Amino acid sequence: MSAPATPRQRSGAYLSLSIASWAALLAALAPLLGVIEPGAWIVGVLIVSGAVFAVGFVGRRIGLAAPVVSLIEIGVWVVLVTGTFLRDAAIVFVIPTLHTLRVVPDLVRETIGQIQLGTAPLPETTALAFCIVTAAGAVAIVVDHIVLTARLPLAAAIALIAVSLIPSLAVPGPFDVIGFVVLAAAILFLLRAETRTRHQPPRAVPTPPSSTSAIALSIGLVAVLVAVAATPLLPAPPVRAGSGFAGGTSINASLDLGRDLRRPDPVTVLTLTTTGIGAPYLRAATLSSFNEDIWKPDSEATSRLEGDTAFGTPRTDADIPVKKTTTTIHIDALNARYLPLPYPATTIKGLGEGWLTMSSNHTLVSDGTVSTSGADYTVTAEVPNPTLEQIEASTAHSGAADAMGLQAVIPSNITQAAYQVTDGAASDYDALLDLQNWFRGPDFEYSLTAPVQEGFDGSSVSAVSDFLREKKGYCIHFASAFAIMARVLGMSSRIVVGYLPGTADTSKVTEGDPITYTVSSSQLHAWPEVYFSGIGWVGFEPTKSLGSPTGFLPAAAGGGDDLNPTDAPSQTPTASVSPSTSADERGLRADDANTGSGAHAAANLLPWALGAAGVVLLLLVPLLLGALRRRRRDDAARRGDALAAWNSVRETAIDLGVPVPVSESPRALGTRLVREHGAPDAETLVLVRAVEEAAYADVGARADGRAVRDAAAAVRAGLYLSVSGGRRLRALLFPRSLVVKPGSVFARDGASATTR
Amino acid sequence: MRRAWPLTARGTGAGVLAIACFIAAAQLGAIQLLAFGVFLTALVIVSLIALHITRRDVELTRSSSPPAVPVGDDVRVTVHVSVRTALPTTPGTWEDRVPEGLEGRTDGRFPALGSGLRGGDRAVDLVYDLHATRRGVHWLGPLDLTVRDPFGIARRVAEVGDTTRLIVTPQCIELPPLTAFAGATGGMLQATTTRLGQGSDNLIARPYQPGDSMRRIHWRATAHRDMLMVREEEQESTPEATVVLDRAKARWGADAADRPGADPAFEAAVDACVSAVNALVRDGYAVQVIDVDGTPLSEVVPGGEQSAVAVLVARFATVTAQGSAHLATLGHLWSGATTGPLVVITGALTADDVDALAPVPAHSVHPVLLTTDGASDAIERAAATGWYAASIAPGTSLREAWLRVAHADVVAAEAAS
Repeated sequence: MSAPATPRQRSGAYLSLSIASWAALLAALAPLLGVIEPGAWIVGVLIVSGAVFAVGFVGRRIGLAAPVVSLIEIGVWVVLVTGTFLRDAAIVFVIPTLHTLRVVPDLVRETIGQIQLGTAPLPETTALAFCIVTAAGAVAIVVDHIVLTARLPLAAAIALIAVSLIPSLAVPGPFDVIGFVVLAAAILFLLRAETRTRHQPPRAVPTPPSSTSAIALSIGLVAVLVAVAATPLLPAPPVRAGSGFAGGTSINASLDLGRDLRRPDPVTVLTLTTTGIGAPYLRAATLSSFNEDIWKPDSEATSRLEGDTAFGTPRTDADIPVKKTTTTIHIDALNARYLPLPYPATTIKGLGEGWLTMSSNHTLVSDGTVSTSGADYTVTAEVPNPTLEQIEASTAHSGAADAMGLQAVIPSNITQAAYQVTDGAASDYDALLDLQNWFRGPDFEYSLTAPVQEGFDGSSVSAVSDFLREKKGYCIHFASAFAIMARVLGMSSRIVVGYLPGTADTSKVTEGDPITYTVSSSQLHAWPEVYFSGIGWVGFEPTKSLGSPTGFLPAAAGGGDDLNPTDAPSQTPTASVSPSTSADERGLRADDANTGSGAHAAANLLPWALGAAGVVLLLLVPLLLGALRRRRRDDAARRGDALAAWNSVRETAIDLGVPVPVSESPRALGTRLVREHGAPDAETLVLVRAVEEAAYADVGARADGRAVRDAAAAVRAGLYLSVSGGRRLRALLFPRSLVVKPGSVFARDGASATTR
Repeated sequence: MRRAWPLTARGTGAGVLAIACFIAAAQLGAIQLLAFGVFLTALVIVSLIALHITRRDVELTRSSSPPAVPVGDDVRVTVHVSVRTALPTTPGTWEDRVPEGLEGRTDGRFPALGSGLRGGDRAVDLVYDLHATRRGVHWLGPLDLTVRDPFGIARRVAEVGDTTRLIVTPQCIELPPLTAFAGATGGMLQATTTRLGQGSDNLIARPYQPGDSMRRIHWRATAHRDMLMVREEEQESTPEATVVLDRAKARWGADAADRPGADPAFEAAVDACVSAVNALVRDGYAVQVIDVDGTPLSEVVPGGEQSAVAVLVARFATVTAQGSAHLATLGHLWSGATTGPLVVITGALTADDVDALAPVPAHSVHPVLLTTDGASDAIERAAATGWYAASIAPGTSLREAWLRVAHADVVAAEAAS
């Protein structure tokens, strides 16, 4: 019997299916909020996708063929997108022309450039909004077709999951629980709505379909909870080289290195050989302006890299010794906008087209058409190497306002610390060395895991203030604090993002070949630089336990010689980030284990005892419920409610496994109880009479409540006594009648029903 | 998809997708994808558990209206399914297995049923209509009950209940009486025939008793005795008729012997047989149905007993061709005796067969030969030997054929005068 559902039911089911599709699409697009700044594009997405689904629903409602519906949807999509974004290039604002089509590639190209070069969250632009709204509309049409025409909600779910992954692949982040739960719930809703359109209940529905919805809710809830609870317990998928949307690791110049540093599986980013002694620090980007409470990457006027000469020789005083090194770098797995370079690079060989130089800070940035992945290049750097005397004589002022400004309210603990630490320093260099030593001293602790609270994982003033209070953090906090404090002291400072010196690859050392250094993604680093007049920018290393501290030797001790402390072969301290961090983690865990086990030994029995008591209490709950109910019935019976007394007897019978069919009259049941189940004759008769009177006699003829209650108690006692002790105990502890109501199917057949 | 597989196509897809998610998560390093893999796996497993966690007792009774259906008619089958589970069930589908020879949609949606812990029976009536296309005894069932979880991911298939018999009988067509005998062959419902050699003189009259019907007063004896005499109970002389259904394999198609309903010619013959029995019984004949060699195919159906006809019709639901009796044996059955109307229903006839039947008409007052053989020469040849012969080949109207043989006397008489 294929019950034809009424049209109203049908269209209701289809309406909920359309709404479910829309909700699922929005849930899949929600992660975009994390990577693009909220703005008008949200409204655009809502309107276009909503219009597509609405048109689809109405079209199907009035009985149009599926291809026609899809065509109309495409029409609505085109009109809306054109009317919103390409109004100038269209006829009557909404009808696209060939000229409109020529505009689209430009917008797409602009968006791609923006995505490749920008850092999350991207600011909203017309091109970006156009692309997102258009894509959302297209996905809406596809989802509408897959779900409502092809009836494949799971296939739509695949598409939606893929869409929702794009932002998290482009900008890797931690597990977004809320986004996942929302999308999972939306997919479940979609599956349920689709199933409901398939399974229309037949005409006669014995139970309301709400029970099915309740089951659906339970299943969905359990599945989502399991996923949320179990996913963090599973081994996290390793971040592969060359994976992700951008391919490979990337450098996020907006000083959000914590995430990159906390990656579980570091990969080799690049390998290099150098003529210098030991591997150099590699700089990628600089952050000079400290505006609106955060460090901002430099984006100065750039000029195209032409030929080999990149930046020219740094402007240093003639008497400053300069050490020339040549470094050959091969990038394995890095896909970033910035090219890692030793400082200060003068010539770069082997790079192709598409690179822009930022001469003021000696960084190289892609114009969007190329990326660092697979690049192979040779850099010559001319490192100024002043003697202690020279640098002490220099002042740390560049004169540029950008490198000095502190456009924020600096908390007092930062300023106080800055002055306190540098108290007594004779020169700017000495003050900076004091700061560096303070940070690298015993007060501070390097920790990747400490700053997990929201807001602390950053470089803002409040984060730095927190860092100085906690004295725990990683390179960003050290570098940011150092740079801010330098500025507080009136010096020109900036933050550099790049890589620590690599580790020598000792496995492949052969006689005569230069040593190959490998740089891992966990060696991503940030450090401050301070400008010294006549010398240029000098890097410092405030981060505890990483890199090598800056220090210049007096001329007498060989300062200005080849041995530049900054680039010194400092394998031992520089070893890499990973050993030190992993040591940290191991240390923490060991502590945990120690304190934990001690506590366990002391309070060994108590939890067990409490647990056992809890279990016992839990087991006694049915008994208590049964007793309470019996008491309530007795009270009612005493007030003259014979039916309550009778019900208590029936429930006792169900508890003991005596069949209580709904069709049996009280008298018949009473007779059976007396004959077969040991109920006392006289009391049963009293009870049955009372019930019959209550049921059939005129109003007013009320039985003596007390007698009825006593009779019921006697009958119950008789029933209990007629069975074996074990059954009696079971009936008291776990009364079946709490779940099996008199008159239900399960009560009909007595106890045999549960054992059959 | 195989019945044993516990997932629907969507559920299988979800499982495959979960595995793909795990692989892709490892490749892309996306924990979000890992979460979806876990989610889909959990969804499949939880759906399976939710479906299979409760045992359910399903009781089923099947009834059809009418209980026995003639070929070509519709029958409405009602399946009463009562389900007893502790937890509410989810909706699903049902399909009753129906053998070949019965046509119709025997599937539908099965509603969600509530918990059996409260309230009475959770029962539902499933109704479907069948069109009977083949004679025989058919077995309906068992019922396949497929319950799906609310997301359509897992399914639980249960084969429920026993099979129920449904008899598809031959088609019994109302035929007119053999009109040539209008006044003479009414059987006990009309005047007794004199043709069988019983003169009215043989009647014995007895004195009138109060309560005797006026119609039974024997006026001649009354006049003779000068007191009201009534006819003694008429001698039970129910006229007999014989219907011969030729079952010899040689004269039917190859399928006729295998199972009922396979050979259209044989079906036409069986239909004609029960229709003829019906017509003759209605006319008051006691009808004996025999095979060509004299084997009775049923008990004698007393005249006027329509219920006995129904029994016979039901019995003929399973008649198949068998044996290899020769038509010549038919002649021996009435050697030296005569019988009432004789209806011989046979298949393909050769000239030899017609010759073998030639002696039979002489022993019957109204020998009718119905053959499924459409060839007219055999019929003409049989008519020449005294048969009222007609063709009942599949596709021709049995009623017209019957009218032709019934009116043959009249037609012949008219032609003679």
